[in-house]
Order: sequence, then C-alpha cells, then structure tokens
Amino acid sequence: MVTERFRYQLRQESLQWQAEALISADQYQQLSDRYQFQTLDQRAQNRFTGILIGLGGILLGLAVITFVAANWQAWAKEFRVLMLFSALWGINSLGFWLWRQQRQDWQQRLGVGLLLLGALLLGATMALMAQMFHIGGSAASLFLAWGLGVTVMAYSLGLVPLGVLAFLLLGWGYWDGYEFWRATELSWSSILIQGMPLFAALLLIPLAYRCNSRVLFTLGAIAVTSALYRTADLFSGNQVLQNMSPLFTLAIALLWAYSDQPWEFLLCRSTALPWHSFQPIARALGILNLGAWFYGLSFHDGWKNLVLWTSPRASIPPSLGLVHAVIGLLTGLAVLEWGYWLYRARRDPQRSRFNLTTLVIASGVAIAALTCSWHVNLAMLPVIGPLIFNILLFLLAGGLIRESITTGERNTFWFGMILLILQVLSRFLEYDTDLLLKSFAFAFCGIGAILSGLWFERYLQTHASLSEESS
Amino acid sequence: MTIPHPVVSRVPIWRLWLPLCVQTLLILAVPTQAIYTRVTGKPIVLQTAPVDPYDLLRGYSVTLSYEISQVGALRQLPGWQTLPKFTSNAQDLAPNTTIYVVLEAPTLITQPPQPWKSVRVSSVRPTDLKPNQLALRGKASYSRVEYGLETYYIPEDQRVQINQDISEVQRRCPRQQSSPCKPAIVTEAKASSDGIAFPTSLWVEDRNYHF
Repeated sequence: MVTERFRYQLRQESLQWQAEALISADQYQQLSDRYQFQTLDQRAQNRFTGILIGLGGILLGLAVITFVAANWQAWAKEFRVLMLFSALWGINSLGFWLWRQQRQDWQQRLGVGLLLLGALLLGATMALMAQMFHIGGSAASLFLAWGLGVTVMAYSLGLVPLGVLAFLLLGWGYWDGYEFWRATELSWSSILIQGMPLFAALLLIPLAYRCNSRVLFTLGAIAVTSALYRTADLFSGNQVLQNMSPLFTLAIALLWAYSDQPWEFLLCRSTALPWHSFQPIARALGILNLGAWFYGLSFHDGWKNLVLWTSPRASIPPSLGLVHAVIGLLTGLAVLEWGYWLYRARRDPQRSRFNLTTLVIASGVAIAALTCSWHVNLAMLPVIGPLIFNILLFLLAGGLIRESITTGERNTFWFGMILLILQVLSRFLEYDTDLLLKSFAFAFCGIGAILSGLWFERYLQTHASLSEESS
Repeated sequence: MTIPHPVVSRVPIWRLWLPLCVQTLLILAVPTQAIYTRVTGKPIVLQTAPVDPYDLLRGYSVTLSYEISQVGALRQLPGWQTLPKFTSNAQDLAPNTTIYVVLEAPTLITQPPQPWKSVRVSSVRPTDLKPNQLALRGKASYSRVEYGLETYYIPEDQRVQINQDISEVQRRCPRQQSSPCKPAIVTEAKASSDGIAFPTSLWVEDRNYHF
C-alpha cells in the first residue's frame, strides 16, 4: 500500500531529480501518472473541507443540545415527546439513506455514524421518558431494553457496529442488574438476566452469522460463557470447585465441539456471500477457558480455601427453576454437538489428527472434572488436586507449543509459552522460596522466552522457505 | 481473506422502519403504566420523612424519603414476622425482597391532606383489603424500602423553592412537637391495584407543588 506521505516525498524527490537531470521530463511524467501526483493537492483540500465540515457539525450539534437543555423544562411534555421521536426517526432515516448510497465511501461511513447516533438516541429517549413521568426504575432494566432495541436494528441492517453496541448494552444491563440475579419475583428483566447464558446465545450468535462478523461471534461466545460462569454464585454451597467445575466443563464442551455446519445449512443458501467459519474462534476460546481453569486451580491455596467469594444469603433461596432449565438446555446442546462430532469423526477418517487433539482435550477436561468432583464429594485432595492440575497445565502448554510447531501458528505458540511461564513463575512465587532462587526463576523464564521465541521465528522462516522450494 | 462488503444498494426500506417501529414501541412502553395509573389509580397520601437538606438536591432531581421507607417504622406492624429476613441480622430484610405495606385512608379530609396510616405488612399481595385501604408495593434491601417514589425531576426554579421550603419546615420541626417529630411534608400519589404508585404532587405545609 502506497501511503500519501510516500507520494508527497516521491513528488518532492522526483522534482529534484528532474532538476538535477537524473531523470528526464518523460520519466517524471511517468512517475507522476503512476503515483497520481496531481490528485495530491486535491485530496488535501478535500480532507481540509471534511475536517471543517466535521468541526462545524460538532459545534452545531453542541448548539442544538445546549438549546434543548436550556428550554427543556419550559416546553410542554407533548412537545418534548414529539421532539424526541422526530430526532430518533430523522437521524435514523438520514443515516439509513446515506448508508444505502454506494457512491462514496464517506457517505457510507457518515451513514453508519448516524445510525450509531440513532442507537444512542434510543437510550437517551427512553431515559428522558422515564424522567418526564417520574419513573424510578433500575438502570439495568433501561440498559437491557435499550440493548434489545439496538439488537433488533442490528439484525435488520446487518451492521457490525450496532451489534457491538448491543453487546455492550446488554452486558452492562446484565452485570449492573445484580438485584435481578436472585430476584424471587419474575419480571421481564429478571427472566432475561437469569436466563442470560441462553438469551445471549440466541441473540448474539445468529447476529454474528447475519453480519458475517468474527468480532460479533467472539463477543457472543464471551457473553455466553461469562454469563454461564456467573450462575455459579446462585447455587448453594458457594464453593468455587463445586459450582465452577461443571460450568467450565460445559463451556469448554460447547466451545470445542462447536460447528458452523447447521448454520451453513440454514443460512448459506439465501445469500451469495462467502462465509467465515467461526469454528476456529470457538476452539481458541475453548482452549483459553481451559487454560484459565487449569491455571486457576494449579494454586495450592485454591484447594485449601475453596470459598473465593460469598454473597449475603437470604433466608429464602432464590428460585432456580429458570437457571436450571437454561443450564439443562445448554447441556443438551453440548451433547448434540458432541454427537454430531462423533458422527462426523466416523465418516471422515482423514481428520484423524484433529480427532486425536479432540480426544486429548476431552480426556484433560474429564480428568479435571473428576478430580474436582472427587475433592468435593468423596475425599479432600489438598495435595493431589493441585498436582494433577499442574500436570494438566504443563501438558496443555506443551501440547499447544507442539501444535504450533506443526501448524506454524504464532498465537498458539505464544499462548503455550505464556501458560508455561505463568506456571513456573506462579509456583516459584507461591511456595516460599529463597529470593535468590526467585531471581533465578525470573532469569530462567526471561531467557527461555527470548530463546524459544527467536527459535520459533527462525523455524517458521526455514519452514516457509523449505515449503517454497518444494512447491 | 478480506471481508466482502455487504451488498447495501438493494436494502429495502422496511429494514429501517420495522426496527424503528419496535424501538418506538419500546420507548412508549416506558411511561404506559405511569399514565394508566395516573388516570385510573387510587389517590394516596404519604408522610414524607425528614430528609437531609444537603442531600435533597442531586443534580436535576429531588430525592425524598417516606416514613414507610425505614424498616424501623415497619417492625411494629402486624405481619413483620412473616417477612424474609437477612440471615446474619434478623432486624433487617433480605436483599431485594418485595413487600406490601397496607395503608389506610384518614377519616378527615383536610387541606393539605392527612397522610395515610400504615396498618400491616406482607410479603404477598394482600387480597382482603377494606374499601379505605390500599397495598403499596416496595422493594426492601436491609434497612430501607423503596417504592419507586423517591426521585423527582422538576424545573430548576421550583427545585430551589422546594429545597428552601423543606429546609425551613425541618428546621422548625423540633420546636413544634416533641419527638418523634413529623414535619408537615406529604406526597400525593396515584397507586394501581397491584401496588405500584406514581407521584402527583408534594405538599410542604400549605404550599402545593405539582409534578
């Protein structure tokens, strides 16, 4: 990509070359045609005009906001409602009209910007309506309703920025609405919040396919897993191991066996777009969760004091019917995914290497889950528990590094390295070792990281040149 | 792989107005209950508890508290034993519990109006109410109960006036009566049959402020 700065410099230099008779006028002309020197000034002028218009627009917007704020209380309620609605409809319509134009890039961008502004205006309008009628509801309900409104628009237009905004709003409403987590009385907010793992999956994952966006899929998967982990606090016992381990198992099972194929079957025929596969993202997130789980329980202290957080207990327990149903549904989905995976694995023997990885991951998860359940239900494992998790973590890190050498993926290599370094450093810091030994550990990890990184980069280069030669 | 631009030229117009209609309905759903209750609800009057004058003005709103907002005022009422308590402290209510406070209308009709009297509390909606009674729904957390009547947004000039009036009444209060002192501040509201109330006006002695 040739930057504008480079073209400026080239024009300056080539003018000098021509003056010094290094190149002829013809050659200069050729350079000028190739790098479009004549448009350079025009573009700068356009940009300047654009900045001026943008600045003017911001000032005008501020003027309108200040004017409205100054007169807000003096206007009649009906007039205020009318104004809010006309602003909402006007800005969205203008944004839509500009976005629909395919002539200019800036028009589309401005259109998307206005549609985003319209989405923000939806929240402002809802808040102002509540204010005008003295409704003191919770902020979480406002964010949830606002997020739902933006989700509808994101679906209809298939716009990624609106989808991201919807994710943020729903997330804000969810994490802010702690009063609904254990609410005994069911309202629409408490249903949405208690069933969030499922609703996040239903709202955000199809949206990622609708927008064909990896970002939205990643956010959707994060929303589902984090909401799933949040439900651990609702169950009795409050022990991290007892509640978190089944949820980690479920989340990793859902992510690792995730398949795009039902979606391709459902959606792909209606459009000509080439589809992104979201399976690698789901797998990467699954590995990330696995790493977090193994690392979290590799600490000896974690097994001694299992209660990491406690919340005030009410004398009546929260009604968990909805949460149970949601976890049950997601477990059913995971079982379906794995059934489908087994069916495919039998029919497609060529993917044997991949099948082996899956088997290794599945047995790692099974060992971890069994260890936790043994510790909670049968006998405490204060020594063997952390030992098993340390071995699992080491195997995971080693497996990732090994996998990265086969596939040549940098991210996998570095995630494996980070896990390994974290494990070594954490163990050294956790057990009360000598300061001198700690300094050695730091030095060892630092040198190890540098050397292995350099080795990996060189390996990638030789690998690439070898494969070029062979082709 | 580059992400292909979605084909936007053929986006039909309904793709804008359909979600916009949904959004409009969402916005209209916000005040529906308040408007409905204001038209069809039953008027009630609440004794407004002393509020900290420095805490009264918060930005663009006025914050009020009621006699029945304090759990202390509910402990003596029948039905207190049945309410879910906070485990470590039986004097307080469990977080986020819904409670119903049954209020009874005064026999005298005066100007400014007399506040309604709280007669009992319940964790479920009472069905056996007398004609002069009404159950107000509140959400309790520890030692406080909120009824959704706590915050008002009013014009600035009125706000300053209300603030002055309330401070005045509260300052005079200790000299007027022996404890417990009830300043002459009451709030009028309309309540629906399921116990949700929306404020209509505030009385500070004989001055009336409409919301």
